[in-house]
Amino acid sequence: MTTETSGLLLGYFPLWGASLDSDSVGLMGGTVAAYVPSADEWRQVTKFDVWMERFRNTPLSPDGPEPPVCLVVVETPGDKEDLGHALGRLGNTMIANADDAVLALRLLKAGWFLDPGLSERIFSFGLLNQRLVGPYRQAFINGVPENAPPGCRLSIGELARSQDQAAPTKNVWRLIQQYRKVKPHASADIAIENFHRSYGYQLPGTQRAVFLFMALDAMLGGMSVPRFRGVEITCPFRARITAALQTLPHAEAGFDSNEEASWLDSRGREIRNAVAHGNLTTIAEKAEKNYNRIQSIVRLILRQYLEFSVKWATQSTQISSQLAIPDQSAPAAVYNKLLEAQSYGNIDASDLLRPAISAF
Amino acid sequence: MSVIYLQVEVSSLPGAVSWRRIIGPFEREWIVFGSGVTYHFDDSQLAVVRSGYEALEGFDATRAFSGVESSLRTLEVTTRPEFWWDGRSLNKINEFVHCIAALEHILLPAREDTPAEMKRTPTFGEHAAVFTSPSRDDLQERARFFSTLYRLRSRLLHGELGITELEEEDLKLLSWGRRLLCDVILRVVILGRTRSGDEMLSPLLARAYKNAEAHHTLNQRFEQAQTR
Repeated sequence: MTTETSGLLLGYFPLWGASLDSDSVGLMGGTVAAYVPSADEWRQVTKFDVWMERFRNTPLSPDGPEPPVCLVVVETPGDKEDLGHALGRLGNTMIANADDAVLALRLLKAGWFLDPGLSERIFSFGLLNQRLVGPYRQAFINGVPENAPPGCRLSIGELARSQDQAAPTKNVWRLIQQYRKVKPHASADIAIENFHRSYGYQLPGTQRAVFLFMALDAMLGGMSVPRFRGVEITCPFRARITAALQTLPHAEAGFDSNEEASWLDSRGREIRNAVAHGNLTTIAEKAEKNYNRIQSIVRLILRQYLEFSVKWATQSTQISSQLAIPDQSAPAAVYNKLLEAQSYGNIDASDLLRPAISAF
Repeated sequence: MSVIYLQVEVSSLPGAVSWRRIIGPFEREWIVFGSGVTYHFDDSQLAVVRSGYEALEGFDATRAFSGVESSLRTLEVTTRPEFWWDGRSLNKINEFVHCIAALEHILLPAREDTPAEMKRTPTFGEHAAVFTSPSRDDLQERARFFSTLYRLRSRLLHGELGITELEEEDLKLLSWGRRLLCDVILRVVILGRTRSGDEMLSPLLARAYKNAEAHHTLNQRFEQAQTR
């Protein structure tokens, strides 16, 4: 894919491990696009010796090494602005937008790719490139490692083709932007961070599971009945998970909220207890086989938690009076109170738990 | 974490060897371009490293107290580049909550087994305080301090704070998660040499906090374990 880019500052954020089923450009949201650069475009932005090393490892590809799918953030520098000045003014926003796009993709669907912050971020302006190299840039010299988890298979239909067209990725992107604008809190930020970390590089399934359970801890207060300051919860873990999952629309055919909640409460709990208290080698195989299932549940709950956080930031008086709790309560406490109320049928909380922005 | 070079004998050629590389999480980037991270060990720090090595030498995960193996993993994973590479404050917070979770697994009973009357925040502080020092002079003060670590963990995980809203005092507490975990791990590994059956650490610590004699006995047992 080649685009007219003269005079623009482009940030390339390679998504090693992901694939896109088209050579067209798709829009994520804001100024972020996703596409596979042409071989020429990729050669221009890649460090020459790294490009050559990749080329040596892909001798059957006459145009050079196959470029990865990239998030590309586009900005317009001012008149007479050079790369250094433009980056100083726009760089952090471009990185933040790419980070949100990474989160949007991971919240949208399953499939692994490495966080570009850990491989490489490249800023290109005319013939000049500035690279922010991560610790794992050279991990893909020989292509995607064989031991990497199954990759994210992105379809062009999931991306918008024009600024005014709706698309699943754009919907999730909008949700993340709303969350950033209201009042971000540590609970959701820790859940996001650990959800990201579960996509780590060279990690065993047990450790991926540890990160996912930490994300669940941040949102649900652990797998027992949680204790929050000023808000009493009596509803057990399984009932809260069921209440959360039942109010969500599910794209996957055959997804059964009760079954998933029951599995997480029994088999998932077994993995969690073993990695926390027991011998890791005894649970390694089960964790390797099942972390994707745990990740899918965390993905759904996290999307709901972000939506809830936006609603709580803007409607705390109304929600707290509905639940008879202080309006200064911690977000995780209120979220769990809502799940409890929904589970017990005390109030119909489905409007507050059902996404206003469908990802599908 | 970086690379291990293994010399392997070539079975078909007597006397010949080949080299294999096992590349770790730090990957080629570090091998080719080196690391920007340097750390100077002086003699006193090397002595600490040596005592840590001696404590861990011969560590048997199958006989260890609950939570020790996963805590060692926590220490390892939180040193990976993902936890410090880009210098974000969220990295420090995430390291902190993982270290406190690891400490919780060692010092406290599992949540399902926690008696209704046990409050986890003060108990965490009491157990940490009694386990990390033989002295009872400042026991309550130290228990209160370690409780503030657990309270900060809860305030973060429950969302009472934004990650940019931490006070100066809270920011100072973040590094204590790892410090305390290192100390507790070394002690629990050593004490584990004398563990019998499925003995749990939490009841031992509860008795030691309440009772000076039990505290003294625990310390004696620790000192004996050190000589094994």
